Amino acid sequence: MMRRGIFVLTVVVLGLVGWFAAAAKAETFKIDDTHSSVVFRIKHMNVSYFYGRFNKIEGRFTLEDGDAAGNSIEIEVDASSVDSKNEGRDRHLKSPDFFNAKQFKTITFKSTAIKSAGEGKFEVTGDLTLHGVTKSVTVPVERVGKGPGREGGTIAGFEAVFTVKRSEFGMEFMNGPLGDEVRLMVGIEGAAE
Amino acid sequence: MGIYGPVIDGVVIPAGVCAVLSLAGRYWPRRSARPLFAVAPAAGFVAGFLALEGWPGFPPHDDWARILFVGVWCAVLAAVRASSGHLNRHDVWNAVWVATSGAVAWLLTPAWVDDRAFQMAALGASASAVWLVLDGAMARRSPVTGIAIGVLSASAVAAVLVLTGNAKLGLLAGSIAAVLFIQALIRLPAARIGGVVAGESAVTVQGIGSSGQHRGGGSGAGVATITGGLLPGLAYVGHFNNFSGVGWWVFALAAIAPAAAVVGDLPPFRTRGRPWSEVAVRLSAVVISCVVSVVGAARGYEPV
Repeated sequence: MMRRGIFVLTVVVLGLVGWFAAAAKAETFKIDDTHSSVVFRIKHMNVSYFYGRFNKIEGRFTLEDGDAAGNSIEIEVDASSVDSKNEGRDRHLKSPDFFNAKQFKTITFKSTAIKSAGEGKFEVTGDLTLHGVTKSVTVPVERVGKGPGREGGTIAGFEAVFTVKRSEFGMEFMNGPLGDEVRLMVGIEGAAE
Repeated sequence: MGIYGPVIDGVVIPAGVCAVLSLAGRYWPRRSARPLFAVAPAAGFVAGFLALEGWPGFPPHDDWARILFVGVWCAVLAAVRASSGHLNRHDVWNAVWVATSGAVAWLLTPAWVDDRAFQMAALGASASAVWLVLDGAMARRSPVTGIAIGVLSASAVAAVLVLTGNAKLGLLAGSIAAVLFIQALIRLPAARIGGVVAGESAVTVQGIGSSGQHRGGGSGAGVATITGGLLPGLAYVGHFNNFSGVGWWVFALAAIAPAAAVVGDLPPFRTRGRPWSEVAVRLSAVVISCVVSVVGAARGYEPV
């Protein structure tokens, strides 16, 4: 009877330890704006690709191999932080011709489902809101790494590259001289909270 | 269409629609077609908007796109005014326009604008002032003068909007310059028949400038509504969506520039001056306002 009690207790303790370990492992990371990038690429006059970026990025993410269903990604980009290396063009991009950034201040992505696609790889489905229009997109995400940060604590990061059609988000001005397809390259680093 | 697409949408299509309607209103034998001349400028603007932007939804997804419905309302008002004949009384229409200015200000000033009440008041006052001055001037003098004021002011608003980084709004303001220019071309022969372009008799001009009873008349109704309703509206929408750092006074001055023609009503010019000198004073005042606003906008311009 005594042995059976010890066995049950051991199983319970091990279960709890495992649960706590799993819980501890599924860390949530707060996006580090300084070490994160959201870069876009668009075709210009059908002859070249032009690259620009957004400079203000916020959000949180959880990306673990074990429990992909418990993972989540939330990113918020300040539309007014668009940077195309030319002030005049930045103003134009913020205007109602493109982002309409006074009315639609942020570009957001919120995951709704995350599936594992191999070690460190995920298929993330989520709602992308751009120019006030929300569309569901599925994005391949690769966890780049996880380790100790310079100031203590754990840091982790991921990368996602995907393409959207700006016309589907109500941004059709100068469609032709400027490509419809916009490739987004997202490199995110975050610190464990 | 490449890079010419926006020019076709914002200039060629509005001008074409305006020309067809204006010519129909002027030369179609049936009297019932005459209000088309008054409707033509606003109809051209609406056609240009739809070509440039497509149907914006109802309510529009983008707040700035509400300007389309101001254009539609301007067309309706112009049609009613041009066909109202002897019921056409200035005091009644002044009241209608003041109410319309309030509605335009409420519609075009979005909830996210700082100091919304102040901005609404400024836009409403600008729209009222422009219409009252222009409508009065066109009733007393040649409608061609009013059209010239409209073309100058629309060109200035377009330049201010483009220089401050709002190309689409600039194209829409440019479409107003285009439709008014087309109407000026169609109007010119009639103005010569009625007398000197700048000095037609008050009786003749009352007809063609305001009430629409003259053959092809009603241009006053069309020009005053489109210039009073849409130009201040576009200028203020540009101000609300301004990322250039240019001060709000640039947009406010561009919005109210047509009202500078009121100096022509001052006693030295109105009572003692010759008709051509009064017109010259009106146009000069408008040009000065336009130039100051464009120069102000150009100071914030950054080449792309």
